[in-house]
Amino acid sequence: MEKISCLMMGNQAIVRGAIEAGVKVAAGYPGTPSSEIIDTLSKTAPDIYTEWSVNEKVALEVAAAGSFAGLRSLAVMKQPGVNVAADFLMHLALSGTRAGMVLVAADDPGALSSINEGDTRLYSKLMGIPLLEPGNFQEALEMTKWAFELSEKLKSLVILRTVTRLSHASGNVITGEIKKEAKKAYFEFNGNMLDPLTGIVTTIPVSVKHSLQHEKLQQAGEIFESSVFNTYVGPENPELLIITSSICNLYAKEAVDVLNLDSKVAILKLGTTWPLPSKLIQACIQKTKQILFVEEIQPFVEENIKVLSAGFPDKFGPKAYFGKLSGHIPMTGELNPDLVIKSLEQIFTLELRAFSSSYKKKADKTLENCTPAREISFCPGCPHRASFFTINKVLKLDNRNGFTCGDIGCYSLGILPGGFSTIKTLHAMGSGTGLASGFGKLSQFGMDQPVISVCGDSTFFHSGIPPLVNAVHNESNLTMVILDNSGTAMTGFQPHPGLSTGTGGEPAPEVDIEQVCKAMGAATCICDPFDLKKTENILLELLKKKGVNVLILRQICTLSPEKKGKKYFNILIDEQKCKGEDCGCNRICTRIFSCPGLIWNKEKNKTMINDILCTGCGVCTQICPADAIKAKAC
Amino acid sequence: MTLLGPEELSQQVLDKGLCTLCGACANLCPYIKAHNNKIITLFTCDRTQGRCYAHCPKVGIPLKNISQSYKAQSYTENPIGKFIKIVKAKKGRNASEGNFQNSGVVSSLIIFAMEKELIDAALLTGTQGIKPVPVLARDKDSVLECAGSKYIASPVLSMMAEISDSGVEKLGVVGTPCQITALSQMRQNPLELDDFKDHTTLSIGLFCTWALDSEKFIQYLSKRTDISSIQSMDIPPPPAEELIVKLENSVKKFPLQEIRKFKLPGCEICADMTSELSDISVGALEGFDGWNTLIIRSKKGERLVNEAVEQNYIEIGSLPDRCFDNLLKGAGNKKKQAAQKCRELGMLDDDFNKPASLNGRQTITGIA
Repeated sequence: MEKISCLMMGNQAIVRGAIEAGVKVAAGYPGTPSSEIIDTLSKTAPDIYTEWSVNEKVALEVAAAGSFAGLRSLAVMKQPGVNVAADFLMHLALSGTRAGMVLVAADDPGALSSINEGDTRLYSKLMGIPLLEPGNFQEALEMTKWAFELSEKLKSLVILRTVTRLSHASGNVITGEIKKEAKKAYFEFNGNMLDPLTGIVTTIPVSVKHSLQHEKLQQAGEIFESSVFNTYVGPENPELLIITSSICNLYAKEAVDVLNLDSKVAILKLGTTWPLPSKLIQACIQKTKQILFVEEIQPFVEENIKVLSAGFPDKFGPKAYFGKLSGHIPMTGELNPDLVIKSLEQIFTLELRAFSSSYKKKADKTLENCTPAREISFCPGCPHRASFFTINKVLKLDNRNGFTCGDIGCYSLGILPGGFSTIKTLHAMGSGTGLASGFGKLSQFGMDQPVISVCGDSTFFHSGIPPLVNAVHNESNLTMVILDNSGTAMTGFQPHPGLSTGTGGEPAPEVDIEQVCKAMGAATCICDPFDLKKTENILLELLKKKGVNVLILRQICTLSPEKKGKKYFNILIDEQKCKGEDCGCNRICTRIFSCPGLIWNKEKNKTMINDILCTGCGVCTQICPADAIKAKAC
Repeated sequence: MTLLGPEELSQQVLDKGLCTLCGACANLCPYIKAHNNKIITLFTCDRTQGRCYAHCPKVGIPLKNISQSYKAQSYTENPIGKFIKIVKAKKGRNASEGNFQNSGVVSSLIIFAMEKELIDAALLTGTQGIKPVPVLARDKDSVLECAGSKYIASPVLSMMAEISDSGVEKLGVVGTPCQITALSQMRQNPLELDDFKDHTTLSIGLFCTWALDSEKFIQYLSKRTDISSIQSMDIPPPPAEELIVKLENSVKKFPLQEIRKFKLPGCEICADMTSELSDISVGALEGFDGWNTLIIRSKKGERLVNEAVEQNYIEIGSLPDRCFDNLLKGAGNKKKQAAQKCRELGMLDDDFNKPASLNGRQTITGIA
């Protein structure tokens, strides 16, 4: 078959690799930068069972079931999802798998779309799972494909770690053949209990399984010694050896190229980072006196190679090690070619600066008038803006210093001024309600502040239910506000169990959030957050009530496919009524409410509507005290 | 005095717990609201000047200036303020019956002013349960429903913005000294707004030494009695040191020492016991059950009282010297104590009315 070269996003290359490997079952939970993998699979490969699971732990379990039944399977999640799945992950690593099973974990160095900066690679070491890190787009395809073979050979789950810049950037990828093999799923369990392919699948007896796991890791290490995914490029005896992995491979290459250091610097790119191919590493390190580790988030390779060197001092010899631990590479945040250039300049004492401060000033000045001076905020017409406006107002009116525990979703922006700084705690998915459940039990120690938790509809199913059950059973006092915008909006409207569509758009039974909450015994009501006064009155009453209350604020996301581009109202400004700075309102519409659909026209001393951005939700008409913003039905 | 904005109002008054709930800062804008007998700041406002600050009777409103411009009369050092005449008074035989605190003279004067069309509505303090609430009374029955002392602070003037849009052209206001002071300041249009219109045509001020925090006091009472059966409350003049609560079938007494714990801290810096800037002031009269002290301060007030006496809506008599002396003494003591407290709080310092730092003010720009 003719091989085709295509421009592919890293995530698409991973999808292609999985398809070429003959994956049959794929499950995940949406999370940037991983979401396109399940999305793409569900749209392009109808013969694969693809599922948006309720959360990452369940996704890993669903995928594992495929493997146990003899089908190649894939689980996909962003790094914080690995934390959610960690409990099952540890047991799965110990029990072993059957047909090839790969966990694609997408890390987000620099927390571009996350609120933490976790490194999945540590799980590989912690739990004893072989780890692969593609260093370019072609490898994203090929390593995914190979990961299934490796998994099958070892009878172990394999982790493929990608990062934002690999997942979301694009490169040329040459595709291979698709493995087409009809497989019947069957779970065999009558064999010898220790037989990985026919016995029961479990972690016991732990002593036996744990030893077996270490044998598998040793075997993986031996395979990795000769893996084509570990490459050495550069002079035979370089002045400096860069050891890198993942997309940092490209940063290192570019830095060496920009500084013309090809004759002095070699790059050892490791594609197999756990267990490390120690002999290969020894051989490469022996070629040089100085080593620079270029990697993102944790000094994972750096620390583990130092451990290796301590074990074989005669083979490694005295070397100068540079990296995160020496301060040559930043300990936190995302890397880029400039940062690698900077560290090379330091090591080689070069004059060339990665970029000068005057250049940065010039660039900033050029951009100055190109973007509006605006805080990070919700989209125009976003229901969360209306919800947080009211929550903030109600907590103030209630006057007991009440506060809001936040959760993960677009509504996490409620922690910023654009969300009226309403959120006061923000951690993991579901943690808002868990924290609220705890706060709501502190009255015996004199705490009299009311507590609200906010939780998205998808988050509710993911991990919002257990803390709600906890709060009800332990008689906590809290008001859980479910910001139901009818989809997993932040990651691209993936369906969730509360909707009547399944992963591929097919009809699916919906689980009614209101009925779930009521069945748990929480006093539950529903309101449209666009009706500010009604929401305010309901919430004011709920805060006075003891026990666990749930308010579902239901309004579909403005960017959802159903609503996008549809206007309810044409919004107009009555210029006679808008007195601008002369009004006592101090521009509440553009200064506080701050919907991007509203523009402050300084010259006219009036508020105006940005007709392109305005979605016609009509909420601002309720904000203006002078009744100067009018809504006309479209 | 420098007229400042909401940030300074918060720093100098609200955050320090010195607000006595006149309500003059509230409901004028989307940021400061009166809710459940509290003044609440909803969102940050970075105005450097605002009516909220300018109206507040706790940020050093110069009584002298208001008095001079508003009444064209100079402020007197007399501790009960400028007055034309001081008498004892009670409801007359033509006035309606009601559940009055003392003599019913305030309700009778308001009803009389309505009937004479001096006012077409009156801003009064009514109740919801025992919680006081501002009420705009447009007829006799509504006025009578508001009769009786409340002792609990309520932001009466928070209704002024709503009233100015309600079509009321001639408004009577009954209020405590802080409310009457703030009302007088409001009527000055301190920010010189073009669209300002003074609708107030009559102000009746009440004597007051302190008011109680609504939430704390009601909480105290509700632990000790069935608050739904409370009919009225009274604090008789000294030497009685008690609050008498009339219930449906009984009477309960609470030591004043206990009740004083719930008085608003802001009352301690109030130097006005007798509502010095009103047209007419009304208060208790020691030793004469069923009578009130009545201070006539303006010509308008004098005319109203004279006509009300002629038409038997109220009855007046001369005030015994002893009562007058006691009144002066009481009002004088309040001034002294207030001055002392203001000094302690640094409110008399030259730099007290300085603008707050801009740091920490929240400003989100729409599009520059």
